[in-house]
Amino acid sequence: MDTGTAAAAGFLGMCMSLRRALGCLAALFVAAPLAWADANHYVNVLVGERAAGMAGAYVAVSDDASGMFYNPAGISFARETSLSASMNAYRLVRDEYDGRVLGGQGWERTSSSLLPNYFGLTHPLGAGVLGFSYAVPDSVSTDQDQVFESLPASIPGVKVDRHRINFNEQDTLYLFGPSYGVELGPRLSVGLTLYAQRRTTEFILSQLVELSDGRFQLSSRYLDVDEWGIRPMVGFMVAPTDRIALGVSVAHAWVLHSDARSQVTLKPHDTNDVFEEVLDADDRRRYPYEVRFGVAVFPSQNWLISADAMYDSATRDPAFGDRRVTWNGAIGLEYYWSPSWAVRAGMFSDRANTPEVRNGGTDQMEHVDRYGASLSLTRFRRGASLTFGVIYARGKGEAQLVGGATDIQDVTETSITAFLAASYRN
Amino acid sequence: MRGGLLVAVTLLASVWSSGVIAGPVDCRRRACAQVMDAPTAEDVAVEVRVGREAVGRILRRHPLVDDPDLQRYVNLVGQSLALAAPRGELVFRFAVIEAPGVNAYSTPGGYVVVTREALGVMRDEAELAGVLAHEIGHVVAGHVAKDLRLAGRSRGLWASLIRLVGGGGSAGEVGLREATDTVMERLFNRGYRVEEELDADRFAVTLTSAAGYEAEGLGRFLERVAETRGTASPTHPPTTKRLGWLRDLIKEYGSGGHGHRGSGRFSRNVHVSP
Repeated sequence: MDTGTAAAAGFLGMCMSLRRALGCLAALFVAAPLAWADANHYVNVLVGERAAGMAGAYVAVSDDASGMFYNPAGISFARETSLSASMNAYRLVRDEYDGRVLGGQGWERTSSSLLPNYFGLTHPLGAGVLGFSYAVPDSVSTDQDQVFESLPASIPGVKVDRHRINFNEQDTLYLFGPSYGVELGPRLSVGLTLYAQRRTTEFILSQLVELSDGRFQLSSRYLDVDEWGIRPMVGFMVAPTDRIALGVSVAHAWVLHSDARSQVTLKPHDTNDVFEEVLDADDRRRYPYEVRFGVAVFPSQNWLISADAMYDSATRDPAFGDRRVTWNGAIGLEYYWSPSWAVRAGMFSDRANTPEVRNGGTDQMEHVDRYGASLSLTRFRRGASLTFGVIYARGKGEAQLVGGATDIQDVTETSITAFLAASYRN
Repeated sequence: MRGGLLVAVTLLASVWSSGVIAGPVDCRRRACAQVMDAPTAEDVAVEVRVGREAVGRILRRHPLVDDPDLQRYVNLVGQSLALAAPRGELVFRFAVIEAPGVNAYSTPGGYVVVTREALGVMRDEAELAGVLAHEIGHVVAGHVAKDLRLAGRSRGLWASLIRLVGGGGSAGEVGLREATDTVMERLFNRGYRVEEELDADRFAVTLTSAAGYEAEGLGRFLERVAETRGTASPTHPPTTKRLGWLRDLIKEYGSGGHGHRGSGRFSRNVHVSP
């Protein structure tokens, strides 16, 4: 066994030991699946002023500063200096688990965040266009305190009087780096974005279980992951006719450095001894190859219709969990009813990259396929624009929240995002 | 299901036919460009200054035709068009110059000149209006002015020009010279891009109709030029392409067969042999 595999096995082993330890009370809630944040989906935060309103269907458009994130070939059309910034004014994600979690009671997990998620600047340079962008395509921030009372326990004659869960999670993926796009001919352009990638994760889960016979169990888990890597993206754009553009972009992230520390502290209900486990690991998360195909139709100066298909390859990842091949799609529409106002709308899918949850299995990752829609309104002024939009997504699937148990919970996930964006063009 | 598909196809077809686009780059131009790219007062001041300098150079090379009545007539036709054109902040001026070849030029700021030889090929006022409207189209769309702004800003030229407008100075003079060189290079060597020429043709069809002229005037003129002088032009798209484009536009806008030609007035004022 090589060092990496050993570390990965140790990392997983740590998680398993936690679950086994807590599994002594069958009714106890474990939460904290092996995959935290929203690594289970590839379309989490839609970025970019126009792109977010068009549900991310932007690979064949990409002709402004936010194009650096979707297809850098498109920025070759941004012949003026342009600047674009967007932020999620508010993003709320709610996971509702059905009543098979805690003695017939359901569980609800919510995450909210307020963050800038895109900044991009492009400027003509030489034969092409040079740009720099910063993007946050995935971010989860959960801060939760819940108390459940009068729950059944696996110990005969004993009930759980009170079960308190304190749960805090911060998980954010940052991308930043330069792009260059150039026209190779009147109908073909190519571009490259070289992102540096950083992901930071902090996860704290504390649980206190008070039994009816006076005993109690206390557990605390802390996890901190800091990873650095690179994520190059190459893109192409072709215009087979005057009104149609085709785009394709290929990206892949390589984690060059990862530093993970996990601490588990447990005082079981049947002893006053306290157990502690600390594990440091340097397992590198494995990311899929991401290929985006897009077609955009430009019927007039007032209309734009765009559609994307997104493919993410399967990954074998002993530390962070295997991912399967995932296909997603998006379709977007842009309409200017006057030179000063535009409305954008779109629909997208965000399917889970985890395997289906199987009957009889244990410790399986959550599997929720989401589908969503977006709507935005833009006001244009000389050299600038301001956009307000909303994105709604909903999905149903299955999860296993109780460690070591074969119980499967139905999950309903809902997210709503309100975003503000502004662009400046010189 | 079938009804929905029909609605979608109908919608797409109506959207598809609702706009006229000239090329893969031009098709990316969004309606908001009219607002976002609108020039500031400073931009306009610089545009007029550079345009005046450029037309001065043209006139030094090719003097005005010494015929005040002809100049007045052409200027009146041009002004009647300019009244219906956007960019009210510009004062358009029209003139006839002694220059070889059938041609017309416009410089930023609203200066439009047409060659005596071009007038000689024309048969009526609608044709003259078509040519002048095409040139007004280049000015209104800022085809050269935008070029100037882009190049100027990336090289620090713009700042120099602004200083010039604000009060002169050697840096401003250098900036003005460079900007005028850029305009002259564009007009006499590089020419407009195909989509810009087609864009100006589209504008000409709209403007001549709005001013009460026959929209077919520009097409007739181009056809006659092609017959008598050949179709090759180093700075314009092929005439056949332009004629097809004009026919499509007139059909699309429903402006065919309307308006007046002004043949009598033209023949009374223009005495130029081809």
